[in-house]
Amino acid sequence: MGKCPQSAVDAKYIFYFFNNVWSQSVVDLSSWLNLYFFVECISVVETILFFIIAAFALVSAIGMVLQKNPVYSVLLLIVTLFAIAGLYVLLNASFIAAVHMIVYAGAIMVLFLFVVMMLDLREDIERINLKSLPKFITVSAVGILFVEMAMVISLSFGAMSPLNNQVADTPAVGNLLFTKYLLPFEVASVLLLAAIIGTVIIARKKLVPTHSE
Amino acid sequence: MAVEYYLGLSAALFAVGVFGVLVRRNAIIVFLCIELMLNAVNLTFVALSNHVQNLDGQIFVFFVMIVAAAEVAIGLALVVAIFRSKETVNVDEISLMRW
Amino acid sequence: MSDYIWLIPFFPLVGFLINGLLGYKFSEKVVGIIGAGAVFLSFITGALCFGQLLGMDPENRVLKDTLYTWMSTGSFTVDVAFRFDALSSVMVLVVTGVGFLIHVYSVGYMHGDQGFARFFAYLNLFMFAMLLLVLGDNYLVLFLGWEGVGLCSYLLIGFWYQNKEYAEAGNKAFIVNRIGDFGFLVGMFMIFAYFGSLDFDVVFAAAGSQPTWVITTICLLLFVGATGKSAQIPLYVWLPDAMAGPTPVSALIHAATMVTAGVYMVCRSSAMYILSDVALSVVAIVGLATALLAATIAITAKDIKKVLAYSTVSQLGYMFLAAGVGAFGTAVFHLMTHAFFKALMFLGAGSVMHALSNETNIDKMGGLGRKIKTTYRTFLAGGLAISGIPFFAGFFSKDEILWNAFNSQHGSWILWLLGTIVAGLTAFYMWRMIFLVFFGESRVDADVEKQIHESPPVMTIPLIVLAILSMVGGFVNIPHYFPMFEHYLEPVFTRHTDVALLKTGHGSFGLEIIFALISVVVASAGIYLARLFYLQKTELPLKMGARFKGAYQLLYNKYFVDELYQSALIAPFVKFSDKFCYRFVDVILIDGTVNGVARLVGLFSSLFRRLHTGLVQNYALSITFGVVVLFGYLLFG
Repeated sequence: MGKCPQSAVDAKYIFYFFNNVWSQSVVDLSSWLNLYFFVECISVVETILFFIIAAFALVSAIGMVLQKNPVYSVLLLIVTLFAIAGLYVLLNASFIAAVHMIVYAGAIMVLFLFVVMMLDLREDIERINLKSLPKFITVSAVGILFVEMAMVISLSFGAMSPLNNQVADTPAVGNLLFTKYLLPFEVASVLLLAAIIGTVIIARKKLVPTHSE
Repeated sequence: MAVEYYLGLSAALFAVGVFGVLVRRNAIIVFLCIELMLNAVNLTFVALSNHVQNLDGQIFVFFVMIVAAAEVAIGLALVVAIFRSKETVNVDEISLMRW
Repeated sequence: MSDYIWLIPFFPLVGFLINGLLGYKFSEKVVGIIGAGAVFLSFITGALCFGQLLGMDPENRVLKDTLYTWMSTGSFTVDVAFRFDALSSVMVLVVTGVGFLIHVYSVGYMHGDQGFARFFAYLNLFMFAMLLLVLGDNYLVLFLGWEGVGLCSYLLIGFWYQNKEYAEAGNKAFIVNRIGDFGFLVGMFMIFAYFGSLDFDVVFAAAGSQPTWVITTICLLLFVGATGKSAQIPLYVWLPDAMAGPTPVSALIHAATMVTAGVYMVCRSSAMYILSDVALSVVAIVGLATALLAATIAITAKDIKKVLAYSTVSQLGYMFLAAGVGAFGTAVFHLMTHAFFKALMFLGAGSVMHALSNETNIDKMGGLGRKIKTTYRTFLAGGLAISGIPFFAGFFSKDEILWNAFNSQHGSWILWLLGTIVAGLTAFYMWRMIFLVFFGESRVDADVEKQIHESPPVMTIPLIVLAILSMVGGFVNIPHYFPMFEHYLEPVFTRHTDVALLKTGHGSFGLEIIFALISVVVASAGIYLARLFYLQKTELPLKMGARFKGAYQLLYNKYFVDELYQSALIAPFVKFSDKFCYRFVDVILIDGTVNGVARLVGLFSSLFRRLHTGLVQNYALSITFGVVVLFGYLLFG
């Protein structure tokens, strides 16, 4: 049997985790997938999947940047986040994909939406005008940035080699998190505490309007 | 899939995010673009973690997400505070620290 | 005893400190005792050292006392060292002796003055500096004393500083002195450059091995300093103005001690001067010219102290004439006798002023001989001495000078002739003053006349002592029979010098007697003419003045030298310093540069602050720019 992508096995776990009701069908589906991958087991599917998901991500990102309506922007970013989660799954990072979905799409974007709705922003903020000189400079700077990054990437084709063979499943991640990276983990909780307190204080109601100058 | 494609995609997303930060007038959209940039970087981490078969990259992504969450919370609180005092979230009008 | 040489300047220093810091608390009597007592103690110490010297072998009559190393940098080492040899002993005894008498006199003269303690403090400081000057064993200690006496001269001339004129006179003295000091300094630099040391023994021993032009230049530069300190041409202009100070100051500083510092310095450096004919000639000619100039001005002076001031300048010229023909011992001899009679006459003038409530114009005096007898008699003694009347002190010293001016291998008959003419003029102007002040009818103002009184004993006793010294002081050096004084001094000048270079001459003793007689005749003629003009036919001066109006104006206005200096030197200098140094260099260049730097910074900052737009996206754009540039460098660089 050829090297079956671990992602298929992870996909099984994910489905099982989210959906006990449909467990049976899930098991059926996963066994079908296993069979399929056993037969094919080439990266063709992976490639196709990658390009589709990448296209989604890119298109929705560009759309998010160019949208007038802030609510549309938020929703398009959520699509982007979904696509990126899919890419995570392709990259054997199922735990990260799950956490990504929960935190980003589930919490952060919801927060964004809350704020947008609360501030009740209209579309009266001007459209971006790509014709004036500052915008031109901006666009060219960003373009050059991208080109440089691409050059860096292209120059390093095939330059990296695997360091060690680590099994990339959730227990392994958890193991690493609670042994080697225990301190940052605990500090992160303190950070979140600070963020909570800060948010509550900053966004309190009794603010006096400041006079400019 | 060769890791370079993932990296290229990540670069593209990052560039789009930078573009959005520099160009958009609405403060909240600017925030969203910052989130996009963070996600691009996360993608880079995960791709490389997969390529070099080292789980440390995924751990780092975990922490990036935590920090992003905290940052968004506070940033949006600030936007709310500014909106309360200035009635606008147009970054062009929020320039108190001028010379 | 040589370990105690340092005490000689130390006592006046202590006196200065006590009187200066605490004197305002004491009574006048205590201040006077401290001040005069310090000088007296120095005199005793000096006399004891002198006694020790006499007991030593004439060739080795040197007491040295090195206190500590003053500075030692690189190849330059200087010690604070004192030297008590024959020359120093004479100077110390004259300075402290006459100084003591003047201190005693000042107790009476300055009675009731507000700055009584300050006066004595300054006087003691002056004594300290003067003693440093004459006791120093190297040029630097000498220069320290040199500067110190210049400072004290300034402090004392401008003693009544509330009067602007007096304060300006003090300034003038100090500034003109400074010009001379500059020459002295450059001379010292040259000495160090060529000899490697400033010690007298080292320099004089090596003097013969240096090229003549080096010696000549050094001697001329040192002499520039001497012209400043001893009021010779061209730097004599401060001395007449210095009469603004209290009379004891004039007596001490500007007659007996400070102005003789230049003569002392030249005599001390005799080993160098004797090697350079040019320097000797310059010294002699400048001295003689000054003597002539000052004597002619004194003929027409109307202020009693100014006459004495010009007389001092003239007599100093005599001393330099003596030094310039190689007769260093004679110069010191005349220094000593001049100290006696000039101090006497200054103190006498002070006594006259005291009697006349500070009147100084001799046109308003007259007939005082009958009223203030002691002052009159002592003053007569001084007048006789300065005129060179036989057996008074001035006779021996002045005739010795004139004889050496003719006889020495460095002298000539012209020097003698002009010197004799100056002697005649000296007698004339001095007795003019004496006749106008003490003889004839009184021209004193009526209300002043009622108050005429003789000075108290504390003032008259020093006068009497000095009068006695003026009468017998000359007998220490009778030429040919009893030249005790010059013999005593000779080892100092022959220590490093070949005796033959000194004033050995070819004349016989008989010729000397004839010259002495000639000078007596000239002096008597001067006195007779003065009597004629100012006592008997008093209309003659006016008629002469009317006939030679131009010459009289020239003399009366002191040859317009002060005005010449003002227009030719001072005014352009002030203008230069205002227009160029102040307006251009200071205001435009320096202030401009400093302010310009500040303005430049302001300019740049006003340019750069436009980066702070306050818009976050601009900052983000600049970050992006930075990243782009960095990437580009890393990629391509």
